[in-house]
Amino acid sequence: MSVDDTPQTEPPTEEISLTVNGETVSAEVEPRLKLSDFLRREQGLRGVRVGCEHGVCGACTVLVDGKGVKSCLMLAVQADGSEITTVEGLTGDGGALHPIQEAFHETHALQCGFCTSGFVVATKELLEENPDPDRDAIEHGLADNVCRCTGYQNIYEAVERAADYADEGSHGGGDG
Amino acid sequence: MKPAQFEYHRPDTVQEAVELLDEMEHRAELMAGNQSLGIMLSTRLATPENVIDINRLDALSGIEVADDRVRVGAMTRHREIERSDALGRAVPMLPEAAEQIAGPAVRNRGTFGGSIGEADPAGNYPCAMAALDGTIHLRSVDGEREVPADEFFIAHMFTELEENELIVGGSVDCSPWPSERSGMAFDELKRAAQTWPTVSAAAAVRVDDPGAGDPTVEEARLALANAADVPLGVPDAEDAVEGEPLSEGSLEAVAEATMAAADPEDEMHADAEFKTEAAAEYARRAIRTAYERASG
Amino acid sequence: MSGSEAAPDAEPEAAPESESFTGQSVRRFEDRRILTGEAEYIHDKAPEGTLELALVRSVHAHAEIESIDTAKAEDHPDCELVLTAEDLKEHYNPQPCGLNGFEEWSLADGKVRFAGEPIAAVVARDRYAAEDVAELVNVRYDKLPPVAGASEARKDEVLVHEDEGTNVPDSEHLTFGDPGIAFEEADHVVEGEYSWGRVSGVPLETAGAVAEYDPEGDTFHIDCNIQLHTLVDDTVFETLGYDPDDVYINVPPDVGGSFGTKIAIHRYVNLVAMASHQLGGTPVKFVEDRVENLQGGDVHCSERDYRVRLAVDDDGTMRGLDVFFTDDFGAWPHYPINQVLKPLSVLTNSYHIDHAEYEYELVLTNKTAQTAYRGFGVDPHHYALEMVVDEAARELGMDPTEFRRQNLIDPDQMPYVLPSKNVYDSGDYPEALRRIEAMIEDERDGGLLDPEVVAEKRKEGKYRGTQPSVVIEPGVSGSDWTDRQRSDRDALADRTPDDADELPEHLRAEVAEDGTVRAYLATDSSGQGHQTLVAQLLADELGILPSDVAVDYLDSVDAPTEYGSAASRMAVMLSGAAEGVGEELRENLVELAADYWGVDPGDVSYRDGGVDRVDGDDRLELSDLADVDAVRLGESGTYAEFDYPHPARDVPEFDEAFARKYPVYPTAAYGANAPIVEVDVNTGEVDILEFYTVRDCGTMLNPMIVEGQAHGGIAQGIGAALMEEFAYDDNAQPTATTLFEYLLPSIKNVPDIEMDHTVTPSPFTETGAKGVGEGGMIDAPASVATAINAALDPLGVTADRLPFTPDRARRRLREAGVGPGTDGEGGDAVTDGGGSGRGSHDGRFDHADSAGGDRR
Repeated sequence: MSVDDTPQTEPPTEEISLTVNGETVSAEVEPRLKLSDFLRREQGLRGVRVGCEHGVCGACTVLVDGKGVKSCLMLAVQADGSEITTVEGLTGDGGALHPIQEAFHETHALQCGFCTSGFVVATKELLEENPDPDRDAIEHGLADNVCRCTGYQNIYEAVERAADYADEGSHGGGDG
Repeated sequence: MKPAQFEYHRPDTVQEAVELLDEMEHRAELMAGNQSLGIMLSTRLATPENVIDINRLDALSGIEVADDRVRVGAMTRHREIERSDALGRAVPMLPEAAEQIAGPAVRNRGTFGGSIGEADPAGNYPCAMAALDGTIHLRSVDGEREVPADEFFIAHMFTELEENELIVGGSVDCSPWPSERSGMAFDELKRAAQTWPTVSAAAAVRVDDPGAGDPTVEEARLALANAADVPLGVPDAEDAVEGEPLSEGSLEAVAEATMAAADPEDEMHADAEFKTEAAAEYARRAIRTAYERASG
Repeated sequence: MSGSEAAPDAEPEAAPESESFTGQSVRRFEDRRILTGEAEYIHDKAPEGTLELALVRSVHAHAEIESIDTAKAEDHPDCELVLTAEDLKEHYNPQPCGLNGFEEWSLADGKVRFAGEPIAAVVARDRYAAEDVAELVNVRYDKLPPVAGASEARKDEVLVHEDEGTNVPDSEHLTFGDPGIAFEEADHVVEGEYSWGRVSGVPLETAGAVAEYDPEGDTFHIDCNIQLHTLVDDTVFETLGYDPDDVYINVPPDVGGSFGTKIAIHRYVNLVAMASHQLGGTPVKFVEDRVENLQGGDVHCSERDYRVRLAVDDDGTMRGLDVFFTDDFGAWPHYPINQVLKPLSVLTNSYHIDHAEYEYELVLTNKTAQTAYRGFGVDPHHYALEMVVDEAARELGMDPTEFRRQNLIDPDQMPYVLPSKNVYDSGDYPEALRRIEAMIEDERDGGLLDPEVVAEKRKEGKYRGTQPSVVIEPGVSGSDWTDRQRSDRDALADRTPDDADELPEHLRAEVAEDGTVRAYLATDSSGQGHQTLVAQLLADELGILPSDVAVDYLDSVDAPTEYGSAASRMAVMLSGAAEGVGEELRENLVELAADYWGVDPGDVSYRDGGVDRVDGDDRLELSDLADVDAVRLGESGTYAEFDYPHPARDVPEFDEAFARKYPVYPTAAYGANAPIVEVDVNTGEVDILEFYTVRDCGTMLNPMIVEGQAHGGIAQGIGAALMEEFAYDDNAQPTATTLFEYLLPSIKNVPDIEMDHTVTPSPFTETGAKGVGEGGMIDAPASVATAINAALDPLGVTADRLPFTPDRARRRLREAGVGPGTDGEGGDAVTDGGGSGRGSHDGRFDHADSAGGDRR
């Protein structure tokens, strides 16, 4: 179960081309490179947080072709041809917070913040599928993300407030 | 937690995939949704020389409901199964089993065939397929073959699948389960969303006359996950409820038969004695729920 | 010094309509950078050319290391460095331990004492390559029998440290008042045994460190997420063998949670520093992965077995308390170890009991070491105490709530000196109990606890209950007592209060050129919102807006040694420090302005972000004052610093505690909880339907943050009560090495928390605030356990072992003759319950390579 005793000097690599937060990106990657590490290391997207690397905590959640995915359990090479959105991709021009980000801020739905990117991205998918989720739907929609600080109380509030902002077609509170 | 090096192969067709498999035999690992394999790679418990990524095999993805047969492609994601209205009508146990797996991000990637192939005793689909007398469809360079679910799962994470074979899907004959007088249930004891169930129970019940006050059970099927090293069917429990209206007495017999059949492994916070008890209790609940659903 | 801009943020709710920002829910300045992904956590730090380190860890719990063959690893083309204990011993020192006499090297020296203990460190271009190299290190072991638990360890048949001669290197038996007589004379002595499972903080961010050795200056520059970097930096500089001034430890403004745990990550910090040193200054980084963190990260916390006795009279008067426990510390008594003593600060919880005994044994086993975790040993104490209180109420045939009420410390007794010499500052515990009862009143009438509903549910085998109680959170720890276990205890009797040496809280502030204010914290933060808090406090001190205050952090060299952010200290310590530095800065600015105008300082006054001439002729805004100062010679007139002394120093009631090195915690926040639980007796599953709580932490500096802290603490408390545990098998192999086994509460596990507040300001602190950081975790486990007792009271089953997992619940229910298949009609199962007959093991977890069912 170990690697060869004679180590390979030239690791195999693959060419990939994908869209990351609207920008086209091409790279040559080792097949074993995780999408999470590719986004953090090669793309400088540190908002992709890595908390467990075994698909539990959800801090590394990104959207792949619009669907939430734990980027620690996807290889960069698998994302070839995909469109990726990370939390950085939600922030608007001039740094304007996305209504979901704004709602998390206003409701104090983050403390240490390490899980926050994952929750924001998961909330985006949730609200796209269900613009007006009740508490059960929120529970179901965020079941792949763990927060150790907030006890989730204010995260419910944040999702509900973000849903309200989407209804209003804008978001109040704060300067964004 | 970084994988060891491997060569990556991404076939575009099923034929290409089985040819690669045939060529590499044990030196290759198939990558489906990667929600379990990814962990094994990260911890280097799996260090394959080659990974064959079958995510671009569109032919393996999808749900077909035709006549009395339901077919689910191996690369169908849990989310699609969970949300399939057609499946919900024909074999509601499968969507119910799917929606209880982890959370949405895992379900966006995890696949039906991956779960069947992993054959974890705690897995939802192996249990559901065993309860429904499902069939697993396999393909290799030599062609296709079909294996009944109860023969497919041999031991803990060990199946009938040959090294050169690919799971292409699973199918269920739903003719025994006309929706107007059948009910199904998939119920699990799971302590947190992110972990696997301690035990699960899958049940299907057909009654004679849902309009009657206490319809008679014509046919019942029951299987349990994580109560043994393979999905555990409990024929004695089925016999106990068939031929009469469901009663507390027959449910008690279900529990007793389940206790007798269960042979689970100890786990942290779930020793064999507890799992046996929980299996019996969940068996009782699943049968009851399925009966209630069958009775309208 | 690590920068972080306080982003301007419109705060509609916090507009200055009232006169102060302190006390308002000012939204956090930390949020924006986090929400946009810009925040730079330690995992993100990677100076140009950084190499990464990976560790080779022991697969055995206890073994002699026969040999370490590093040849193949060194031959790997990506290998830059391999370190073993042999290399460390040539150049460096052992790591300071919590007890004297232990010599712990950062890599195992000759013997491994826990599964997961690091044996070798390798460095390569990145973590992928480093793991490739690490796999090539070949360690040969000679296995020894492992010590897997405290009861076994106490027999001293197998020693974890032969040199020590015992597995119990530290213990103490303290007597307060005259418990002998109290227990002899009391009408009843009630006894119970209770177990608290090994839990910990498990923050979402694992440990990380990046070190860069500077060969020219012969100094180390280390970024890492260690907690208390100004206090525990000795675990690094002493190990490296350098002066404190040569080892710069810097903690990023954003740390992804710590909850006390990251106090003890020095092993990693040392290894990256050594690696960079050995490589001549190439930066070296280590990021702990989650399995390392759970298995061998030196960051577990209390694992206790209690035997508690309570002396009570027929009329319900509590007369004496006797607490004995063992605490399984794992393989090394790492600093900190005083979690075994902290419960003395709340020895009798909210109850008036004059006589008490307290004894502990600190036990070493073949497990990863303990560190601090939110609550710091008080959480299991409260749990054990509240359990025996329930037991006594049952034995007396009293209503458990009335029994509690009757013994509560009365507000008239405040400040209340505990038998163990700590002092409760203020509080109205009977009122808290009344409030929580009022909150659940509706539930008893048509709600979750309506007698009809409860009866109906029991028919399904679902037993509901709740148990209100008042639980104290000690806050604002002193520092002097914390080395009691390294002191000559016999000499303590002769000490005077003045012999105690307390660490102040340091804060700096200066006016920037643009007239904004920059403050510098000597502590580190891990999500508590200290930047926001200091901005609020200083805005009030200086009559400016919080958004005009930017808050930065000092590194370990720049900052004085101080305690820092732990033990529910910061609300109080920063309040005092902000008040002090504000006053200093105002005085300096007044002098500066007077000097500029050539008038007497008495002729000018500070007001709202500027200095006025009293004659009304002129005003200098902060930006003007910065300009004035910039062209002036001599000491800066726009800078101030302040060291806020520990608030208990001025309070004579604490003299004895100071003199004797007993825990000093001058604030007593409290919570009265009533979680409504439902136990499914057929499956053992416990569901918390609603968590009611009334909390009092004195003045709330930022109610939004206070509530957030309580929410999180309660969630962690629920985890400890029901889900989380670092279990080990008989071979001392850890069975919770991933988050599939160490179960953090998910959104599905945490119920709605219904929270109310009362405000009883502390007379001992500047703003009346009390420490609040550990609340929830301190009180929720006891409350959940006693609510379970209430629910299962008809069946005679109690939650005598936490976490009260479904299998444990079922075991107790089975022993009581309950089900499965119970429909509640039978009522066949009444025994006299209680806390004895605990099984010694939970059954071995066959740690198969199962990874989670259908996820693939």
